[in-house]
Amino acid sequence: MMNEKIKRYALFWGCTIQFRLPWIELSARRVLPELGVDIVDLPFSCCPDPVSTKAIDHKTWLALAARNLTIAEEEDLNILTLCSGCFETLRMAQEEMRDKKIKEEINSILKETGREYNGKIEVIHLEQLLYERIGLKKIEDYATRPIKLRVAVHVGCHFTRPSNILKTDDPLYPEKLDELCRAIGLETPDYPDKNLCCGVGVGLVDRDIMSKLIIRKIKGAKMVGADAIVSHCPSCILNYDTGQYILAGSEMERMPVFHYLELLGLAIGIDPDEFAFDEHKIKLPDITF
Amino acid sequence: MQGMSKKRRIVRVGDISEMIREKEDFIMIELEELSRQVLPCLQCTTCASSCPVFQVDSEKNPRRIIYKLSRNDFSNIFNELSLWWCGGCYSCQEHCPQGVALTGIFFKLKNLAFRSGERVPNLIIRNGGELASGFLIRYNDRIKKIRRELGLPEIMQPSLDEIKKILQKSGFFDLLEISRTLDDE
Amino acid sequence: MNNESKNLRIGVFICGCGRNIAATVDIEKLAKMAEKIDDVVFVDTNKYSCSDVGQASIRKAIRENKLNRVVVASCSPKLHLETFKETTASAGVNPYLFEMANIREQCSWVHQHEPAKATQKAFELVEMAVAKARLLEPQIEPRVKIRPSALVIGGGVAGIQASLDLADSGYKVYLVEKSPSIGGIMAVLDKTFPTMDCSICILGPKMSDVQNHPNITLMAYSEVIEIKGYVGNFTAKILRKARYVTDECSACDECTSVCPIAVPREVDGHLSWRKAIYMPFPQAVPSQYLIDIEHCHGVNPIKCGKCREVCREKGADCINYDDRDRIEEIEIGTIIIATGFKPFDASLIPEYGWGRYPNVLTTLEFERLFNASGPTEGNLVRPSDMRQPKSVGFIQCVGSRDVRFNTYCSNFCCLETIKSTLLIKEHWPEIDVTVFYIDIRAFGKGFEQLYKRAREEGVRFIRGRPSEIQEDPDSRNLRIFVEDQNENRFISPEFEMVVLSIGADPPDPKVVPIPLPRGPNGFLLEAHPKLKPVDTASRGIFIAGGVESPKDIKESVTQASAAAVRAAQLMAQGEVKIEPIFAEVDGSRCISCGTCLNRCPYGAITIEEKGVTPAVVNKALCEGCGTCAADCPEDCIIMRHFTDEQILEQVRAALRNKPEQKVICFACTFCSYGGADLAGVSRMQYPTNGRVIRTMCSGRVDPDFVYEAFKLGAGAVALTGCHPQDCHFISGNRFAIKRERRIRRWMEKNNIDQKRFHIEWISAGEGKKFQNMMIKMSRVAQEHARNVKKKADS
Repeated sequence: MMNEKIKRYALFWGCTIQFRLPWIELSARRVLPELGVDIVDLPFSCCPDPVSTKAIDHKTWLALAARNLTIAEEEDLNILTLCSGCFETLRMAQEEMRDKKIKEEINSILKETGREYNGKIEVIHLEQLLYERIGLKKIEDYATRPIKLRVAVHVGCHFTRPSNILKTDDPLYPEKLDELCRAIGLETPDYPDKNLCCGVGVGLVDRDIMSKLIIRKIKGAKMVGADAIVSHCPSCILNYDTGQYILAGSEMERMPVFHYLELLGLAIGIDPDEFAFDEHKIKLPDITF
Repeated sequence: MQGMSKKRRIVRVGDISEMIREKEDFIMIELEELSRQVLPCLQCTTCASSCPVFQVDSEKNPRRIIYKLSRNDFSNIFNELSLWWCGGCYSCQEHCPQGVALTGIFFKLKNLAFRSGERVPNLIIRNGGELASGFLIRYNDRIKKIRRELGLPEIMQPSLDEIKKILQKSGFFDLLEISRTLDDE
Repeated sequence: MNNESKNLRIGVFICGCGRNIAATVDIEKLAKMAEKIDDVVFVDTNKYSCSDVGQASIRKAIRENKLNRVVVASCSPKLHLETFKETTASAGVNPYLFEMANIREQCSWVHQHEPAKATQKAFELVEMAVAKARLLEPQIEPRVKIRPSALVIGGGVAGIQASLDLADSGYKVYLVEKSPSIGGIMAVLDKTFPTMDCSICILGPKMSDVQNHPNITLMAYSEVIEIKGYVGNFTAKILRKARYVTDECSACDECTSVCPIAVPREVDGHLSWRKAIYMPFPQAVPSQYLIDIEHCHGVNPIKCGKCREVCREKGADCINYDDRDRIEEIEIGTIIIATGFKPFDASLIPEYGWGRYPNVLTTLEFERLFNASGPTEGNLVRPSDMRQPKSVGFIQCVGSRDVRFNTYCSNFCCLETIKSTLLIKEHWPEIDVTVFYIDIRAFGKGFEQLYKRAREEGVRFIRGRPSEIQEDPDSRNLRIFVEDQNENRFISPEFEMVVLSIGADPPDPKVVPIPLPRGPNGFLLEAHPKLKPVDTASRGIFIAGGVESPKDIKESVTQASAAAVRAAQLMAQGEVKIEPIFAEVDGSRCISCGTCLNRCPYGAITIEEKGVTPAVVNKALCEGCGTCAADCPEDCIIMRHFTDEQILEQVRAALRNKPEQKVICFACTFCSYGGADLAGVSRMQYPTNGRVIRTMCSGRVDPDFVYEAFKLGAGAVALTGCHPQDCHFISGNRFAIKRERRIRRWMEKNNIDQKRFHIEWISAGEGKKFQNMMIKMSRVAQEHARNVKKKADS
């Protein structure tokens, strides 16, 4: 078996994956065990999201995040999340509650539920698991059938920012996901608007602006002849996959969107039938190895 | 909105004279603190240059909110279009050469807007309204069906009782009650 | 010696310093309080003690009242200690019977809102100064000879200028340069602002002068690896790196055509190639080729040997594979450090695309393109297709004025860009040139006129700081993303070439093999920001040019000549007085354990036979840090002018009144005391609980001083000094912190809360840090005072 060490994590799926993009959950449940990850499901709630809920009330946002953290704390498990937004929320909440006064304030709210936040567990994102814990070398070794595909890599905003707290990759020009893609054989050209936000945050109030941002990203990807966009942020993937589907335009112009785990799974030898490629709104290209 | 119980007192920022009459002028204090935080700003425009929203719509400019704050000009600050159009991507904050925490300031302003009784975008409130159900999206039959077909387990439900208690204690429900959306009136 | 036999007649002179002190401290009240101090026979106030009038009145008072100890309560000793020592000496009293109380930088300026408390503190500071003055002994200043020779480290324009100035004045100069040729950045520029002179044309003659000057020994491709000694008597070890080419080389260039190894050419910003055997640039001085041993096959005739072959064929035979690095030792009297700054590394800003997009260049690379001896022989072409660009965009403040990189302004970038834009417009007026800026800094002579000329030539200036640059993958054109502030509009103009106006990075921490204090930005620190711009804290060592702060050629040359004069001043006198602050071992009590030997980084202490003969201190080598005295188990080392008793008396005086509220702060002369002064200069306010006791080095602080302070009931004690790698006395602070465990164990045994003792490293550039430390320790003392009161009440 490829896994040398069994790593147990409380898997924080988040709303977007579980409700909107269950095929990402499918891919993860198939691929992660191959990498030695033991998934534990816990009764988490919405993280809560770092854009709309945080805009309404900071204390509420913090308290709900703390509750989620205590759920993992109870089981003495670290959290692994596949959602960049959840990652940002949970990590920022942890950082903020290092201040004793704030921790006490939040715990006084949690007291009603019989919970107490202690700051004992760690929160990591899928990309950190792959890049830092498993490492590029191992991924290259696992990828017995590297994929020949030219992809436009999209990292998104919430995985790296705010960088003084998250410290995952360069906040303005992240390259680690590109390296992970190259490790499984993908071509990762630089392209215009590579680091442009997908716009889902502003989509809450203005779908026009969001559309313009989606179109810019697709144009940039097309300019370098990319076959697909690869990302690991479910919000961005939802936005690009569904967003393009809704926007006007012929099938020829649309850019398919993959989640990195799907390509990683194929590269390490998992059968394409075990994924749910049909669930993508935009038809995916044929894969060659 | 005076005359309501102390717990739900709101302060309308647009009317400064009313502000002075109010005993609880905590919003003013918060705004003044924010304007202190933006003092290092050079108006170099890097924030606007990096803002994906401003790049496609020149009306929504983060730099100008900061400028207003720096002049202690709080008139209509919660009505500023730019404020609600901020998608929270942190580009401006990461780029700022003076280290001004713009995105944090914008979130704070939005929080204050909810407390002030000014009108706020509808979708944000709707999202907030869903929170009591545990998730932002309703767990309907269609989703259940797709998950079953994919062979995925049922989504684990969080304790709604715990969530309600938290939302109650943090004052969230009260906030939702007093907020008015941009669609109202 | 008891006081009676000394017949002390102490005079206290209190300065109002205009309103600087008088506005906060009640000078008259202070004078009245001072009159009551034991042994004080004369007190006077002055408006400006350091002025001629002020000094004259002090002199008169000393004579008329037959004073034999003098205390001046005014500004920081770091400013006017020498001034008043001379005043004292001119009045016939030994200058080492003089002491200062700092009631300005460390009192009136930092307690502006608490005049009553500030006055009380000023009084206690005067009491402390008097307490030390009582125990002062007259000292004779020994004299040392100054060698009439100088070491100049760094062969850029500053180093060249300083060398020529000193050599022309008749002094012997050793000029050491790390790279194979002198000339630095100026030698590779194209034109200089604001006159648009050809850079190498004006520098070249100076470079030749250096090589030909009978008084200058030029050591290029060499590094200074060790410096020992003291002012007037330094020795330095120079590593002369092997060139593998003798100086018979006629620069015929035959070798480069046969060398198989190509390497990016450093001076062209890696835009072109050179061979492993090469000449750095055509006008290099020394005009000698060299072999880059890192990339050559290994000067091994079996592996390659082509260059030597062809050289012999031509009948020259000046390539020598048996050349080896050698070390030379030199003896000099003074040192000038002119090692320059490092250009900012633009790859740290990946969103600007330098290093990824071929048509994004730095201003230095751009200069090389324009330079006739550069990679394109002076043709302005894009690296991607070798065609002339139709449009060029410049971005200012790259790496400067940015919390993510360097927070300071790099001085020359605005004019560097303006000059470059004019060069473009002069040759090709049809090229579209735009500059994106936050501010244009055109502060020097002729600068504003050049800025105007640029605008008149049609260079467009748009206020806005770009967030990123994107590249069109086909045309390799660049798109700049920026808000045009004047139009409140987002624009993304396309350019065929973009130039990043990079600033300066501070010099490498290891740039010279001696610890010299650095400012908060990493540049070497001058002795005084206004009055001693080229001196350092170490006597006999001077700085000039970019190593002190980013600057242009004219300012570098100005500082270089200034440093040359400062060095010449010392050397012209032939000898200087050495401060008589050194250690002395009481041979009768010394047990010859050798502890002091291990404490001295200068090798100033010797023991002929360990365990038998007593330790002996070489006065000339001893720098007076006091680390040996603090660790001597027999307490038998006396530090002149900073004796144990003198320091203890200051502690006692400080804690005579309400000790539980006081913070005793030991500060070292060169770093933390300077930081405290800086807090004062910057008017950073903090509570009045602190009483600073100045020592030469943090290593001087004997744990006994700390114990005495706590025994007398001090609220808190702080030990401050230089940062770990920057100790002015090399290792004093290292030994100071080693005593922490001992001190804390003693505190535990005596039930003293650990919070009440604190060690902090504060440099002379860290006023804020000192302020924060004082605020923090004052809180600790106040808390302790409250506890004491609670106990007393109950």
